[in-house]
Amino acid sequence: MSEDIKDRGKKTKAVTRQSGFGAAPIVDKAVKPQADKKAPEPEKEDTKNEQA
Amino acid sequence: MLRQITGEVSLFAVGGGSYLGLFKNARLTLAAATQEASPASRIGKKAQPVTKGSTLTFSVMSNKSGSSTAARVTVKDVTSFAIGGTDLRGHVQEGTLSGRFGTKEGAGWADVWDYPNVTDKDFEFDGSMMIPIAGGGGLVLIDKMLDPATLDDLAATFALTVDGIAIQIPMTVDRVELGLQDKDLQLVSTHLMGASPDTGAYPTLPTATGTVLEKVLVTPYNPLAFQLQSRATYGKSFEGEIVPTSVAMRFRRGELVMIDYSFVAVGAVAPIAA
Repeated sequence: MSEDIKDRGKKTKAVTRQSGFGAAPIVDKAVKPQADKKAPEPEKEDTKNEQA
Repeated sequence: MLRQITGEVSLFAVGGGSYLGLFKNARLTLAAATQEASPASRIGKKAQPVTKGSTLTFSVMSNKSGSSTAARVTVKDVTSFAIGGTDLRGHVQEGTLSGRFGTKEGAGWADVWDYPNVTDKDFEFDGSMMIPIAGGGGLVLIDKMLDPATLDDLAATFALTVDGIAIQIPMTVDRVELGLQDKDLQLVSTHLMGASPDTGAYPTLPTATGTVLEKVLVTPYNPLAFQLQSRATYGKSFEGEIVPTSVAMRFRRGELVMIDYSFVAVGAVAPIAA
């Protein structure tokens, strides 16, 4: 019997626990957040006030 | 009045695990180290930035293993707790098991951001035990300290199993206090310090490195990736790598078991690449 056949069914992958003490759900895929949006530009009136 | 951003965090991942559904608080600090740079001819001080660094601290709950309703791990899920082989689970009021990780700076002249390397790890336990009138409980710890013949029985294995996860650490009982308080229970408070063996695993358990907690306890020197986005829109995103500086598991009767993490960034913290 070859090694492959003998070990079939015995091999288990190291699985990272997703629950239990100290565990957190796995992030399935690389998360691509939306581009950070900038706050709207202040109105021009503000600039005028500063210059005054 | 403007509506301000509240707890709408859209991304919080550490070491490949998402804490969005488990974290109670988090704080990302971006800081420049400064050196005083004013001349002797001036009374005013001048802060000259010299390096940049970042820390990330957060507290998390845990989901009970296999729970379909995301039930949280509470202190009732501690199924065994012993110091030096003595079962104290029925007599302990509260306890905190902490890990502390020392770092040394690994950045060179060319680096703007700090590159801390973990160079040591230590564990400690603080706890308060009640004393049953039939004896035992916290008295066992006092007996260890009172033994006139030897110091050797101050060596005590800390062993705790929570939600099926066994934590076992060789430690030394370095302090025992008997507290007597007006109209209160007598309490024995104890402090244990880590006692790393010369060879083999430390901690003894766990040895796996699947979860963030296990990674922090077993291989704190390996940086973990983190990603944080404060809000999907008009928020800020951050990513980088971090190593732990401390972890504390807090156990208190009638409460959730919380884990407090403190990390420091290794290299730059940057916006998440779109």
